Amino acid sequence: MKRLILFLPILLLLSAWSLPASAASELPEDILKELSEGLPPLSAESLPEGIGDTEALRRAVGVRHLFEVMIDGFSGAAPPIFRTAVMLAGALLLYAVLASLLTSHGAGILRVTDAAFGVLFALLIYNGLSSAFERSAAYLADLGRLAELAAPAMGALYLAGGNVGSAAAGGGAMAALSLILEHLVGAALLPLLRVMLGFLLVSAIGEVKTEGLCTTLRTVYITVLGIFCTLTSAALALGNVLGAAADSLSLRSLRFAVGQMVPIVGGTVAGGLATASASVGLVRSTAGIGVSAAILLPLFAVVAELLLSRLALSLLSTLGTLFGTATPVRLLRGFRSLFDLCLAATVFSAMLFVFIAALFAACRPAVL
Amino acid sequence: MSFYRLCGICILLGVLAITAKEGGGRFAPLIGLSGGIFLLSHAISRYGEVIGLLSSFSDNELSSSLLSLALRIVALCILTEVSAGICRDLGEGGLAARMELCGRAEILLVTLPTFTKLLDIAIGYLRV
Repeated sequence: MKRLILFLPILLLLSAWSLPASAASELPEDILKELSEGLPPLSAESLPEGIGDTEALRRAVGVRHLFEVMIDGFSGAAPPIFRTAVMLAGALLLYAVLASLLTSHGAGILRVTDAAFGVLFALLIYNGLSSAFERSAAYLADLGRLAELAAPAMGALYLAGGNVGSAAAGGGAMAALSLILEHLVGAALLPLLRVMLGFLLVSAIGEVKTEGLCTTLRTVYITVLGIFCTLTSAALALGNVLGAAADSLSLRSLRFAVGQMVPIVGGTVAGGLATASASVGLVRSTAGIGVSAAILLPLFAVVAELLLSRLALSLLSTLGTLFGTATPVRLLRGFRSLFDLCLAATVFSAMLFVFIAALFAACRPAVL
Repeated sequence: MSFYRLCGICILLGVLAITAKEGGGRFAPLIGLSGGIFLLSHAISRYGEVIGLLSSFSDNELSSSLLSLALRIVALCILTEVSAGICRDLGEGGLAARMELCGRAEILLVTLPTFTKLLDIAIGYLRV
């Protein structure tokens, strides 16, 4: 009788915690399918065979494949950037010859020529290298969409593994990440980049100097992003670890109670719970790796293009300094600082996302 | 024409101009003028080759048109400066200044569509 009285609340508890077993048998496959089908275009193109194939995913995030993707990214982005750089270098040389001729003979016409060449340079740089911006903006927009897609899937998989505390922490993580991507990247960075690019293009005409404003905007943005990301990452990691520990402890106690107190079938139920959680753990790690791959693989192409563009701008800026051309050098440095900001924000956002996905994949189901 | 031959012609024209000056000086400015036109046409054709080579690297129409515009600006600059210099050599400083003014206006006029295009792009970006 005493055992029966103890059994009733445990039964009630089990019904309340029944999500893991049912979810493990049906939910994960649906979640993986949904994740795979809902991937943003850039991520979907880069994944080998969707998110469902664990082996393919493991190969996709292997060091060897990542290196191959990186080299592909560099070799794909190099030719157009090289062509633009050669064109700009030629125009720079032409301008340097003309400027030296005008400085020695007719300074009167130099100012007009300077403005005209400034406009030409700005348009040439914009025309040749703006595709890196567009690609970066598309990637950041994709990250935002991926955060929206992954948040419910991760929450459901946490619950399926019995990690109620982690589900709350993970849900909070994804909510925070969505907030960062939406506000700091979507709502702030892209308009900020557009405004800075607009100012930079305007500054190409004559003596309009906007570098100070752009530098201040960039510094403030990077500082805010850095502080926000550090605080969020630390809070998320701590919350997740604490949540996982608490979940593990409570479910271990529950499993022990079921195994000890429920006659005959208790051990089987507890064992089944563990098996179900193990399968959820596998699915969760697959989803984690899949999300990481969906972020990392397209990131390399974006970063390669941004880095190569930045390198070309640095080399041209040095060349311009050697030739003594002030206006083109000013423009080249302005564009380079814009690429710096874009690069920092893209890598920051992607790494934060990978960090959360890794945390999610590494979090063991509570019953194991 | 090779650059060495060009240098030789230039020196020869200089010697001729000095000789003409010593003999009365009436034809000396004309020799300078003809030499200037000859050198200018050569310089512009060489710059044209450079721009043609650079245009071969561009993969779209805008870059090519920008580079040909650069060539036009270079030609206008050199033409203005050479013309103004010849006017000064002939003792017409005022005419040289007017020539420079016309040159500036011409460069502005040639570049104006590009200015407009740049401002359109910039305003498009600033209109968030």
